[in-house]
Amino acid sequence: MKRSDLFFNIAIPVLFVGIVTLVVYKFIIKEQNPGLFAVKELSNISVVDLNNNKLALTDLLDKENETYCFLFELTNCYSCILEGLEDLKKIRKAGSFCIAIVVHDLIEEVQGWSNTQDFSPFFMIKKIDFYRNIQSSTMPVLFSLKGGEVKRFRFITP
Amino acid sequence: MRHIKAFRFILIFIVSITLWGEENFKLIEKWDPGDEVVGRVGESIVDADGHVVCTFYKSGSRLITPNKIIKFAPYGQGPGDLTDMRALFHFGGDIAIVERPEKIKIFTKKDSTYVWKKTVWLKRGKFVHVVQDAIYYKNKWFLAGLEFVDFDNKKNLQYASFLKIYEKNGQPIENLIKKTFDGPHRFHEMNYYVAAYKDQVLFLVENEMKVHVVGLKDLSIKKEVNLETPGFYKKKPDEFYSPKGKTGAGKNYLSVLEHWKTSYSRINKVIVEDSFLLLQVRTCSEKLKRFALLFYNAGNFKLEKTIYTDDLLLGVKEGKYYFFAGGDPGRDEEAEDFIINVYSFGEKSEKK
Repeated sequence: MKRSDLFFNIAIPVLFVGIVTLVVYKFIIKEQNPGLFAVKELSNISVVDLNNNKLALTDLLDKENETYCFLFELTNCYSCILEGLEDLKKIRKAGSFCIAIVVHDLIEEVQGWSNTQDFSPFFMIKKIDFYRNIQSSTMPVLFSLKGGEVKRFRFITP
Repeated sequence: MRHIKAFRFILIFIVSITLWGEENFKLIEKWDPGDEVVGRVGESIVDADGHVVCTFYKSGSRLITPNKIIKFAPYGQGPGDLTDMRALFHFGGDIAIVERPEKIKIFTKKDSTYVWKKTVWLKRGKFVHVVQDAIYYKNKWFLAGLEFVDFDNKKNLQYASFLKIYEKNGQPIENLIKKTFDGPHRFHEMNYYVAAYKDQVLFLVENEMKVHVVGLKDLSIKKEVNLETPGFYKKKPDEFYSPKGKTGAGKNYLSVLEHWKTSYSRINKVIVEDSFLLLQVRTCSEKLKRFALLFYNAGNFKLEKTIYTDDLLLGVKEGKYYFFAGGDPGRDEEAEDFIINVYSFGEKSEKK
């Protein structure tokens, strides 16, 4: 076999396989991006209850089991908010501690809104505390905390 | 011969009546408050001082007086702010705004401007509610607009209501004007109107010359009355709102929507004033002015008077009719200058 034939017989198939692999990885296989949710310093986060008392979030959490938190803004998709609250009710029935946290700066707005819902307790996290301590690709998000760490999370989007 | 004479007499009588209305409907004030807004008119009413509160789709809310225009409320989530303005209506001497389907903000006038007074929260349903108009009447809130109340995914059915009634405290009482959809539709794009007269609430849809009368005692539909349709009326075909076999918005959706909103005789304003049910309707006729004001007797719904105008009706207060000159600034090219025209059937009054 000539040297040039050997080149074509080996190099071209290798090149072809390389191109196909590149195309498949680059354009066909779409990596599932789960989104980002992270709590930076749990001990730094304070929330406000509906009586306007400031509380450390860590003081609200179940010390031994997971605590489920539903975090949302009042301007989020309404059906998504209701789905999150319904999920909290189901999780609570299964025996876990659940709270809802609204990102807002005015407790009166959260008070008024929460009175239209069949769930409690509601808390408010101020926007500045939210931005400083929580990273979330989208909202609303339902997450669980245990031992100071996020154990699981799920974005609830339309 | 006798018939011809009788016909001629009737014709002269009708023309005289029409001209009587037109001749007596006179421009009494012209405001040039000197500001520019962008976008079409959303909601508008005239307040107790005879000033216009109005929303413009790209500029937000404005309080318009004869000499100046000021922001009604800034954008934001604070108590005195607004993130949206879906319906605007009188609440006693104050102004109520449906900011979201579950939230109504009350503003009161102070030092020639408006300040937030309180927020009323409604217990809304689970699904989408596109509020288009609202009133507070006899201690109840009436919200007009498409609300999905349930879905049957197996049968692909959507159950909707177009008039929702709440108690004063925000608890829902009744869903009326119910409809079931079995395919794609765009009924959320349609305008719905609600007004009150004596012991009844009136509900209208932009593409129907029909009044649904709701009795206040048991909050049920008492009757549906077909209104007399004027000769110019160009009926909107149903296919836009119920497109057969089409799903999604499609290409050029917004321009198609604008075409449908301006090319057919849709109702663009409903007001009950001085025992009249007043509708403003686009004529869509080259021979006539852009709009017709149709004055129906609010008791028996007979058409009693028709006035033609090129201006867009914003509201009525004590016999004065407030218009945006030239039409809708977001839809009609002639409405490029910010001029408010005030008309009246009575004598000319002094400018405020």
